Amino acid sequence: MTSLLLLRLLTEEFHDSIGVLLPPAALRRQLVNSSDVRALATGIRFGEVTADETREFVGMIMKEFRPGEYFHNNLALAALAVAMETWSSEFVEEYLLDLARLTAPELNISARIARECIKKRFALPKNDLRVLHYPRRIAPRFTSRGMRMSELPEEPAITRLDFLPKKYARSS
Amino acid sequence: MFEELLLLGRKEESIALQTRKKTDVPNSMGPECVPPTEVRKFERLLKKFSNWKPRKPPTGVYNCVGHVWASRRTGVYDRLDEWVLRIRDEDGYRVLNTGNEYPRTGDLVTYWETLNPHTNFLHIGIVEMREGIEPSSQRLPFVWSKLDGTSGEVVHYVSDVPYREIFGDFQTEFWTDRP
Repeated sequence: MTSLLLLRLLTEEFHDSIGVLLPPAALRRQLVNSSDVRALATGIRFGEVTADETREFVGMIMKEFRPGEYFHNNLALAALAVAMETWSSEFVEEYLLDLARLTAPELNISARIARECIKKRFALPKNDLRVLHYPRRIAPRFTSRGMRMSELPEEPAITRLDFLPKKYARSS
Repeated sequence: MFEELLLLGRKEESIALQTRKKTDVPNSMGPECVPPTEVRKFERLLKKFSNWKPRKPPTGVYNCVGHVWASRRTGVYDRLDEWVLRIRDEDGYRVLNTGNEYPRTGDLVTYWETLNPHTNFLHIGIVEMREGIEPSSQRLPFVWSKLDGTSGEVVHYVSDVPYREIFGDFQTEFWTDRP
């Protein structure tokens, strides 16, 4: 029996929650933030959705593929790719690589999302430096060094980032 | 997993599409036929954004970039951040300084997640200036849009787009080929 988490990807509610289909990179990020996709990712991680079940699900929806017509389950295939992109298994590798190398025009969305997922999957982790500035009006309880936020000078404590490489200094 | 499709060997088709400087722009024509599910989704979108005025029913051949720069013949999908800026430069568009210059019909509006630097291109459309609700009010920028690869074409107010609910915020930049 197919998991409800997978079947959810075929519903109008899921399609409506995504709305217009953005360019691939933005759509991938939108899918990452989708509650349905996050629930599916959790289901996969905790074994609620198995590889066999997923394979069966993909086989089932691919039966509706018609050459020359935009494939209406494109978004479900794309969502599945995003849900599995960080999971390490042979099945996931197979799914992502197979989907990514498809060049059928009917699957142009899901194949491109799979390529984005692969790009993310194999990207090296990066250090990320961020400087946070809390507006004074929302942080009156700030007590660092015994000083209230309202008593701090207007300028943030760190004003010079010359010692950082240029690309980090920009974040100031 | 998709062996049958791989065996069918279906490939995206592209046409000759170049910038003014004769750089080839990678493009791909989508299938003309859009299934009823996508048509219904477009109708639901029109209900949700009730101020959108539909111009054309859904088609899969082109996307917003193809609508603006390929005369509705094909779509441009890959590395859009890079290609959109390259086409802008090579086709002689300039960024409109909206502080002292108002857009005119025929200019382009682009939607980005962030500007400076341009990251995450979202959409592009053709500006059409229309009268506001008050007869005496200033003309307002509306946009001819093909919002995604399978939607139809609509005309909407420049900021009446669904990106705010997706990304929290978005930024627009007007481009013109006027001197």
